[in-house]
Amino acid sequence: MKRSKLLSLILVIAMTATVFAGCGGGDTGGEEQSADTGNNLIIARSTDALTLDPGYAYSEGEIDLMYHMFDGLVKFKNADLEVEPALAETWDTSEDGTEWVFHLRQGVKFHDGTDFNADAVVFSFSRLIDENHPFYGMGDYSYFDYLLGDAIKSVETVDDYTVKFTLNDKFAPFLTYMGYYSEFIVSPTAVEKYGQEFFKNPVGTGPFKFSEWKKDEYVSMTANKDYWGDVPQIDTLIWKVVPDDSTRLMELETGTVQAVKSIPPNQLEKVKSNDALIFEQVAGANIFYLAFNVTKEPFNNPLLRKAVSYAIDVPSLVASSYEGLATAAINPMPPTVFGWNNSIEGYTYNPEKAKQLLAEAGYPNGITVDLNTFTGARPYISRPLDAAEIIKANCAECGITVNIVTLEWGDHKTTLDNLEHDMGFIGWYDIPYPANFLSTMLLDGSNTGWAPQTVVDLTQKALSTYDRDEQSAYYKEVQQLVFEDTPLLPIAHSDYTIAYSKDIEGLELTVTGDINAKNVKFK
Amino acid sequence: MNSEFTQAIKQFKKNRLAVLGFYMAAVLMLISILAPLISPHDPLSIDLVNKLKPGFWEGNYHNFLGTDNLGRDILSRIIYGGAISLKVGYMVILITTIFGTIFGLVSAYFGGVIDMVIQRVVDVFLAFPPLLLALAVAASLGTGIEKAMLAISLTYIPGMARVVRGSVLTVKTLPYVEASRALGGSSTWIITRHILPNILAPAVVYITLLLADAILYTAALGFLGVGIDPSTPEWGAMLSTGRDFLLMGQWWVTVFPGIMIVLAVLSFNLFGDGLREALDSKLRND
Repeated sequence: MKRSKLLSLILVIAMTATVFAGCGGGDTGGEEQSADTGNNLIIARSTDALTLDPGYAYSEGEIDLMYHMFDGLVKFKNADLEVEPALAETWDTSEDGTEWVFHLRQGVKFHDGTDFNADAVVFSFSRLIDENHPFYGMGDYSYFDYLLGDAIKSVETVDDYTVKFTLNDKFAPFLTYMGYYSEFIVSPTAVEKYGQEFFKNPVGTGPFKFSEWKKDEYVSMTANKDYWGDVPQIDTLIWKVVPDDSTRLMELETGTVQAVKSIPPNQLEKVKSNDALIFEQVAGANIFYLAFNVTKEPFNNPLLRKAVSYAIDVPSLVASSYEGLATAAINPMPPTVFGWNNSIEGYTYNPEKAKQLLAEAGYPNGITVDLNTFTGARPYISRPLDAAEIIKANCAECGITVNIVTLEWGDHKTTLDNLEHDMGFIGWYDIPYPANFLSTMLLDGSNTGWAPQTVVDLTQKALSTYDRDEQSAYYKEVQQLVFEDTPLLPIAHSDYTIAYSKDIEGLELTVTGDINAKNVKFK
Repeated sequence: MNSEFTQAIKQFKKNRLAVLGFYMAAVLMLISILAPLISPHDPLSIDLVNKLKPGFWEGNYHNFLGTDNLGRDILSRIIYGGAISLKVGYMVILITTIFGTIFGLVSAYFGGVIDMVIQRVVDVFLAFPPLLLALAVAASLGTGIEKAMLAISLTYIPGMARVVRGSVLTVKTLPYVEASRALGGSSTWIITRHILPNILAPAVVYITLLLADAILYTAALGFLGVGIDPSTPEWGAMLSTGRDFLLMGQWWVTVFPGIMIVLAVLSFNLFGDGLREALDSKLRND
C-alpha cells in the first residue's frame, strides 16, 4: 500500500512538472529560443532523407533539401512552372527543337571552391546518363532517368561556359524538367573525392551549404555567404526528424521548431485556432481517383463505368474525408496545371441516371463489384477507408453492391498493376506538368488498362511541340476523351499544407509541394 | 451423469465471479440475438452531415452514444458488433472443436505413423505466434468475416488437437476401454461410447476459454484492418477508426467499442474459469 502511494505521488509530481514545462515552452521558451539562437530556422518533418545526392533523391524527405543546397540551370518562376535563369543565363534551341544550348553564369563557385563551368554541367549529367562514366550508378533510383533518361541523347561542352544538350526527339517538358531538383548540378571534385560517400557529403552551388547529417535526427545547413543570388538572411537551417504527428505539433506549439509541413487533417482545428501560428495550404499537384479496370468484365462496359460515376457523390465525399484540405476533381489532372479543360463539367451526383445507366448496361437487377483499397494514408488521401465506405453506401442506393477489398499498400499496388481489380483506389503526385499526368500517368500508370490509339497519338503530338498553347489544345482533347469514355473517376486533389511560427516570414510552400526557406527571416 | 452435472453446477455457483461472468455473457448474447429489434438505427447508414456528434452527455438522445466519422450511430454499431463478435466466436469454436477433436482422436487412438505425422504438423503450427499466423492466413485469404473465422480457427485447431490427444491417451488405457475391446467392440463403438464422453470435460474447458480469445482475436484482426470489410460494425475495426479522432477530442468513437471488447472478453473468461474449476472438482470427485 505504502509503495503504491509513493508511486502515485511521484507520478503526480512528474505529470504536474510536464504540464508546467509545456506552458513555459509556450510562453517564454519560444521567445528565448529565437533570441538566443537568433537566426536558426528549424523545420520538423516526419521522415529523414536516405540520400542527399540530387541525382538519386526521390522521396519527400529528400526533395526539400535539394532545393536549398543545389541549383539547376533554370528555375521555376511561377505556378505554371515556366522557368527563368539560374545557373544558365540564357539558352536557345535549334530549328528542329532537338538541340538546346545553355550559356552559363560566370564566376559561380561550388561550396568546396570548385569553379562552376561547362565541364561541371557535363559531369553532373554524364554520371546519370553514361553507363561508362566512372561515377555512374551511385544510387538506387534516379528520378532524372525517369523524367529525362529517354529524352536526352547527349550533353557536350561547347566552350568553358556553354553546354549543348541533344535530344532524341522534341520533348515538350524538357525545359520545365530542367528546373526540377533531379537535374541540379553537383560539384565534380566532390564527387571524385567522396565517390560512393557523396550522398552524405553533398556539395552544390545552392544558397545553403551542407554542414551535418545525423541520421534519423536532423540535417543541418549553413547559409552560403558567397551565393550568386540573394544570400539567405538566416544563418542555419535545420531539418529535424520528428516521426510522431502529435509530437511534431507539440514542438511547433512550444517553439522548439518554427515550421511543420503536412498537417494531418485531425490537427487542423488545433493549428488554425493557435494565434501564434500561421497555417497555409496550396493546391497540390496530385490526384486521387477511382480506377476502373477496362480490360475485363464488368468494367469493360463504359455504361457501367458511367453508372458508378453518377452514383458517387464526389463533392460530399471530398468535403467529409479531407476536412477542407482538397478540391473535388473533374479531370485526371489538377486545375492548377496549364491545359486543364475547364469546359468539362464532370459527373454530378445523380442516382436516377445511375440506375438508368445500370439498366442500359445490362444489369437491371443490380450488380456486385469489388472495390480495392489500401489502408494507410498517402499524399493524396489520408483516410482511404472512409472514402471506400462512402462509395459503398452511395452505390448501394443505386443497386450496385460494392465489396470493399482492403489490402496493405504493397499488395494493393501489385493487384492494380496486374489489373486484377474491378475498380480500385489509386493516385498520383508528381511535377505539375500536363505531360506528366496525361501521358505518363494516364497511359502508363493509371491502373485502368485504358490506352486508345487516338489518345496515344494526341499525347505524342503534344510531347513534340514546345508551344504551350498547342499542347493545351491536345491535352484538352485528351481530357474530353477521358471524360467520355470514363476509364477512371477523378475524386480529389489534396492540398499541401504547412504551419509555421509568427516569428518568421518568407517561408513558402511551392506548387510542387516543397518548402522554400531561402527567403526566410525572423521578425 | 445427472448427479455429476448437478454437482458441477453446485460447484460453479460457489464461484461468484464466474456467475457474474455467466450473466454478463448471457446478457451480451441476448443483445446480439435481438440486435435487429433493439438497435435504434441502421448500423451501416452513412450520414455525413451528422458525423462525429457526441452522445447523451451533450444532450444528444437521438444518437445515444454519438456518431462516428461517417455519421453512423455508434450504439447501433456496438449492438451489431456484438452479434458479429459472438458469431465469429461460436463459428471458431465449432470449427476448432470438430477438426481439433478429429485430429486429436485419430492421432491418439491409432498412434504410430498417423500420430507422428499429425503431431509434427501440429508442432509446426504451434511454432508460430497465434496472432501472426491468423494475420498471415487472413491476409492471404482476403476480405470477409468468414475468412477471418477460418484464419482464427486455424490457429486454435493445433492446440485443441493437442489437448484432445492428451486426454484420449489417458482414457484409452483405462480398464473399461480394455474391457470393451476384449468384448469385441469396434473402434467406432469404443470412440463414440467410451472415449468421447470421457474427454468432454477438458475439451469443454478449452473451448470456453477459447471463446474469449476468439473475440479478442477478431477485434485484433479488425483493428489491424485485415480480413474484415471496413464498413462491418466490428468492435476492433471501430476501435481502429476512432484512434485517429482521440487527439481531436472525439473520444466516444474509440471508448465505447473498447469497453465492449473488455466486457465481452472479461465475462467469457470469468465464465470459462468458473467452468474449469467446477469440472475439475468433478474430475477429482470421480
